[in-house]
Amino acid sequence: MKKLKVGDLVNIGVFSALYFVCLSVGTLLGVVLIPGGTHIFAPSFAALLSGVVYMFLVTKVKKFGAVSILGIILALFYFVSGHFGPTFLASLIFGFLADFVARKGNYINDKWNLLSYFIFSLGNLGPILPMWFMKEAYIQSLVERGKDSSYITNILTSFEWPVITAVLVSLLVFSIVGGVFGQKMMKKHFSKAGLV
Amino acid sequence: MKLDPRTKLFILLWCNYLLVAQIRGMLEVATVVFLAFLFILARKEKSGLIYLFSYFVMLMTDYFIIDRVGETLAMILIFFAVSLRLLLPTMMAGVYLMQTTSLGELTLGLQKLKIPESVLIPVVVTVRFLPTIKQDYQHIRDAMKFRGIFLSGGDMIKRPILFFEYILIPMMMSAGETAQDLTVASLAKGISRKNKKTSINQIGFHSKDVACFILILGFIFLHHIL
Repeated sequence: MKKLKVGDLVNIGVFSALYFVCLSVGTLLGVVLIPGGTHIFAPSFAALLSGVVYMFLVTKVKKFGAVSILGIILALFYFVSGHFGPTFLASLIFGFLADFVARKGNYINDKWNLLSYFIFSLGNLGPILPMWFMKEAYIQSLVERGKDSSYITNILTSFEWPVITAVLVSLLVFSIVGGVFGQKMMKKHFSKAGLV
Repeated sequence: MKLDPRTKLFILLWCNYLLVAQIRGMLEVATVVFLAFLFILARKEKSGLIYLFSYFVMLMTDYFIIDRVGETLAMILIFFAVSLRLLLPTMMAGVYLMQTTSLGELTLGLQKLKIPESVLIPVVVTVRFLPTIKQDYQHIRDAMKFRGIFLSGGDMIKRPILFFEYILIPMMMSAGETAQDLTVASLAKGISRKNKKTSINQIGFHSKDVACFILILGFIFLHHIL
């Protein structure tokens, strides 16, 4: 396994920052475009936007560790910005998995990179996990007050599985679209200029 | 008052634990008051008091108002007063860490925590590079105006993909160049040397840090006893 050099580390840092920006813009879009104030589709929109940056990072560094470190950085940001515990575990775990998958194609195979991009995007589901935990506190508090909780619980649980499926499917579709778009951009702009 | 970055991280860790274990009651109140005090001692009186006030409002809503209103309104109020209240301590600790720590101090703190260099360097570069992105964006927008493309918001909505491409690709080109420059600069400053590194920042545990640690450990102790 080739070791990461200082140049690689700096590249990872710079493109992590860009990824972070794409993630934030995607999250914003997800919140604005989907009515109801939920941010459960934010990861999907983030996956739609950050494909170019991800593909560039993977094909530029071409070593094991780039994607893992991107995952670690995201995890640290989630931790420092006061997110919930398990949130950053998702980024960590899916970051490592995505790195292994991309290595299968030696970091240049489009199909493996696409799959790794989808897996990495799963890590962004972390921040919406508190929704489920907060919901528990919400229901519990309703129960404590003796409100008509059975009715509310029913509504919330009957929506649960369809919602999870919708989130996962939209994430799959959007990450493929975003990833393919990224690879197209790579070929159009960076391969020609000899930057990768 | 200045705390060691590691102490701040420890406080953040405790707040995360507070959230995961869903601890409520006196310990939550104590933590929020403690964090608000930290803000005030760091000369950020305004944000400290705002946090304290919003927490107080949430608490009062939870205990006195919700029981007296109708079902629909109660559902909305519970979301704010109960669910969002859970997130408040972690948010405060995170904001406190980010606002009161310079990049150099954070680097030194992480170094002393034995974070490996292969993680530390990208993290520091990321934090350092984020403001540059904003500048780059402004430059690209200026260049676009110069050429007379995407002048109005309507154009962006009509062709969002093209707009996205026109923004992101130059940004990445410039990011690639910046990465090159940063690499050269940091190599010139001896980043690849293996000796112990020195720093102009001085951090270390003082009596204040010890006091914070004892307080948090006291919280943990109380939580497990009660």
